[in-house]
Amino acid sequence: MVPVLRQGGAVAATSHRLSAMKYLAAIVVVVCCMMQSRAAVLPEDEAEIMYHLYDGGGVEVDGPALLVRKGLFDTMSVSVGYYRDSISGASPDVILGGSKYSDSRDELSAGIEYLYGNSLMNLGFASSDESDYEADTISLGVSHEVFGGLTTVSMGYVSGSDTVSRSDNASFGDDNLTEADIDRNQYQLGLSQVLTPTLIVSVNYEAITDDGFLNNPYRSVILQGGLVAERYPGTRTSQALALQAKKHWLNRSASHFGYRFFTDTWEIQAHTIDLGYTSYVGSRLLADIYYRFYDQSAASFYSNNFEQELNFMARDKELSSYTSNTLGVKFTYRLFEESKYGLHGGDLGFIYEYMKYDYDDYSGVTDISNFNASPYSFDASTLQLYFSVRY
Amino acid sequence: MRLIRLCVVSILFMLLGACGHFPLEPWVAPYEREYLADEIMSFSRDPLANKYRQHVYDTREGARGAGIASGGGCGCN
Repeated sequence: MVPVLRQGGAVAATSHRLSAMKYLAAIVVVVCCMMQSRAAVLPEDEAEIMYHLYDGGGVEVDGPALLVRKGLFDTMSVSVGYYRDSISGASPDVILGGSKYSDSRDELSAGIEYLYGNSLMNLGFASSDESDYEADTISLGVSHEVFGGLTTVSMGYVSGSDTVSRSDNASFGDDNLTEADIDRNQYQLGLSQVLTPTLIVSVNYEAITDDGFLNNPYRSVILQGGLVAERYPGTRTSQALALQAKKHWLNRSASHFGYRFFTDTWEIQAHTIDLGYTSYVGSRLLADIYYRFYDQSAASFYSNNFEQELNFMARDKELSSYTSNTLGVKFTYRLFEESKYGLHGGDLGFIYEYMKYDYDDYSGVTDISNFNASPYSFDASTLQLYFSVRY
Repeated sequence: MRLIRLCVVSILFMLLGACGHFPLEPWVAPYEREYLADEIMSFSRDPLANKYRQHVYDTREGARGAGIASGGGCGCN
C-alpha cells in the first residue's frame, strides 16, 4: 500500500496530468480489492421537465430542461437530457468591452449506468453549443457500497474539450486568433458514511486542470485610463474539498450542513457554507428552506484599475474578492403515489432563490471615465418550475 | 497541500477499515435504516434541479468542483 499512498500524495502536490491518472488508477486498485458487500441500486425510471429563469445583474437567462431515464435488462439505466439557456443582457464588465446582448446555449447529454457485481458504473457525454463557445464532455465514474452498506466510495474522471470564439468572428488574444481551445480534466473522489440510524456524512474531493485560452475574448481591463484586452495564464489547477452532513429528525424532517474549501493556482481561495431544512407538510407536500454563504479572495492578477501593464491582467468580477448570500425555498407537491395511467408517481416542483452579491474591489462601471466608482453589488432571483413522473 | 494530502490518506485508511482490516462491524443494522432510506436524506434529490442550481453558481463564482455539476459551456454573459 505504501507506493499507492506515495502516488496519491504526489498528485495532491502537483497538477501534472500523468501523475493524477496514476493516482486515480491506484485508487481504483484499492476499491477493486474491496468488492465484498451488497450491490448498489440503479436509479428509478423517471422523466422530468423543467423551466428555469435567472434574472439579475443586467442578465436574464431562461429556458427549458428535460431529463428522461429508463432501465434496461435489470442491470442498466440509460438517460438523455436537454438543457437550454436563452441569454439576454450582459454584466457590466462585459458591456465595458462591448459585448453582444443576446445568445443561447443548447446542451445535449446522454448517460448510461451499469450495475456489475457490487459496483455501479456510469459513462456520460454532454455537448454544449453557443455561437461563441462549444464544449464537449465525457465522464466516467464508479461507486461502491461497502461495510454492510454503511460506506459508499466513489470516484470519477471528466474530460472536457472546449472551443472559444467571438460571435462576430473577430480575432482576439495576443496571437489574433479567431478560435482557441481549452482542455479540461477533472478528478473526483468521494466517500459517504452512515454514522447513526439518522445521520449520514460525506466527503468529496475534486481536482480540475485547465489548459488553453481561459479568458473571455470580449472582456477588457482598465489600464492607465484606457481599455486593453485582458490576459490570463494559459493553465489553471484547482482543488476543492467538501464536507456534507444530513440529519433526520423524528418529526418527518431533516437538516443539511455543507462546507467547501476551494483553492487554485490563481491564488483564489473560497469558502462555501450550505445550511438547509426539509420537512413534510401533510401527506403530499415537501418543503425545503436553505441558505448558502459564499466568500472568495481575488486572483493574483485581478485589478479594478491597473496602473501598470503586467503579464497577466483580469477585470472579471468572478475573479475579484466578494461575498454572496443566497436564500432559497423549494416546494414539492406529490400529485399521486399509487399506480395510475401506467405511472408510479408524479411530482410538481417550485424553487425560488434570492441571491445578493457584494464586491470588495470591483466598481461595476460601464463607462471608463468613472472607473473608481463605489464597489458594485447586485441582487438576482432564480425560479424553477418542474414536473416529473416515475414509471 | 498538506491538508489535502492528509485527507486523501485518511480516506484511504477508512477504505481499508471498510475492507475488514480493522475489527469494525457495521453498527447500524438493516432494520434500523428506515430514516436513512427516506428521500429527504438524499444528497442528490431532484438531479435536474440540482444541476441547474450548481450551474448558476459555477458561472458566477471563481470556485468550482466537489459538487454535482457536469457538462461544459457558460450560458452567462
